[in-house]
Amino acid sequence: MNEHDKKTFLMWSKTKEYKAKIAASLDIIERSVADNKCVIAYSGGKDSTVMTHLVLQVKPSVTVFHWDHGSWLMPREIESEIICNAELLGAKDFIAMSSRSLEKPEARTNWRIWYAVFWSTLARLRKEYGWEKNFVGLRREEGCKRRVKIDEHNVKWEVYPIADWSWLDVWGYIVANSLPYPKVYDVYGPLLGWENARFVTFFDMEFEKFGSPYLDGYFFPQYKNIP
Amino acid sequence: MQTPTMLGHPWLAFDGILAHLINRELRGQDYWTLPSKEVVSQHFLYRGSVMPLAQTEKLFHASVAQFDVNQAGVATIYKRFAERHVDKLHVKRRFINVGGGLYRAYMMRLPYLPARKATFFCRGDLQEVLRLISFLPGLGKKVAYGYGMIRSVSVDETDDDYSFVMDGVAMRPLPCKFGYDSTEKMMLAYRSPYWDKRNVAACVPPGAKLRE
Repeated sequence: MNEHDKKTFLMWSKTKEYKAKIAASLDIIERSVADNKCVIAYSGGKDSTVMTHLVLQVKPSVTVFHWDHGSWLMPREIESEIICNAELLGAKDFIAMSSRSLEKPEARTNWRIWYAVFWSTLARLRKEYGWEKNFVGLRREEGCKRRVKIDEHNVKWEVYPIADWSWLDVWGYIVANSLPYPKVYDVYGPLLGWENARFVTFFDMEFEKFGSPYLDGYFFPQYKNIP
Repeated sequence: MQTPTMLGHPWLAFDGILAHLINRELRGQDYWTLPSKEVVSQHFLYRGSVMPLAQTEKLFHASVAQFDVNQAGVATIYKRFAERHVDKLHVKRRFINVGGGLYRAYMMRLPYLPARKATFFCRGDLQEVLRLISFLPGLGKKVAYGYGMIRSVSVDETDDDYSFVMDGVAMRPLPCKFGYDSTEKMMLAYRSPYWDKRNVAACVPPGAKLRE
């Protein structure tokens, strides 16, 4: 991130609006962790990084759950960076899970495989660990589907503490607290705009309609083929 | 170049372009009805003198494109079903699914290089190469949208062959199994068709300094 962007985000982090959003998020988190056994859904992206940091500030012992998409969708270098970032954020109880079915090239084209495995694993772990609330870093601003999901709130055990945050709030929080974030953002942020840069699985045909595999192909050709 | 070149990969291989042009020429009308779900044999390209390029082991003497700019930009391409043409559908439909299938809507971000010049180095039959290139309207992706249009082609003859290496730098993917070595290595396709995973091997990527 260049100095100019950093300064902008830092300035934003001093505004009243930003501080009000942090206070509102902390209030949601405090109420949730008070009488529930909670888990944080941590993907490694900017939103879950911010949310993980916020939750761990309130209760450092909360479990952080991370889903590893396998080497075809998430290069090992980036995966290690994400896990390292979780440690830097202060995650003490960290659980990373994956599935052998994701270690196949088909994982890139048939994303239904991992969706099915992911949801069944999460349901099993929820029973096993007795998790009652799941912190998810979705934001209304991200898109129509997410806005509807947050507003309808059909999945009752999910909590969205940063639902009302804007991209400026997220980057402001990251810069103000010197949080670690994946290096992918430094490539895509200046190119697509910091508001549009997203951290998603690499060469994933689920995102072909957004051109994501082509951007990865150009900017990260080293991750296209796995030895 | 007349317009910016859109790429889905940083390297545009010249032998791949020629293979495409030969394929199109040899298959004629059949080229447009090739199966989309299987790899079609391209053996004729590697037999005899069909490809107008010199060959060492399995590598054709052709470099990747050397563009005069490095800074890539990103453009967004939109594709969606146009309701005004709905009367042209042969099959009656109650609704059009834009979430998937034939009429899927796209909002793709694609990288482009605003290059004025793309240089390729190759060794082979110059006349034939020029003849084939005359059928090429543009370079890269989305040529039908107007990207990568070629303004003109010019040819220079050099004393040395720079199709593989120039000043100690790889000019195309050079497979390690053929004795090339560098501190930078990548799993890359080293011969056409470049999209075929059977052609992928550990390679020295274009632009990397070769080890002596």
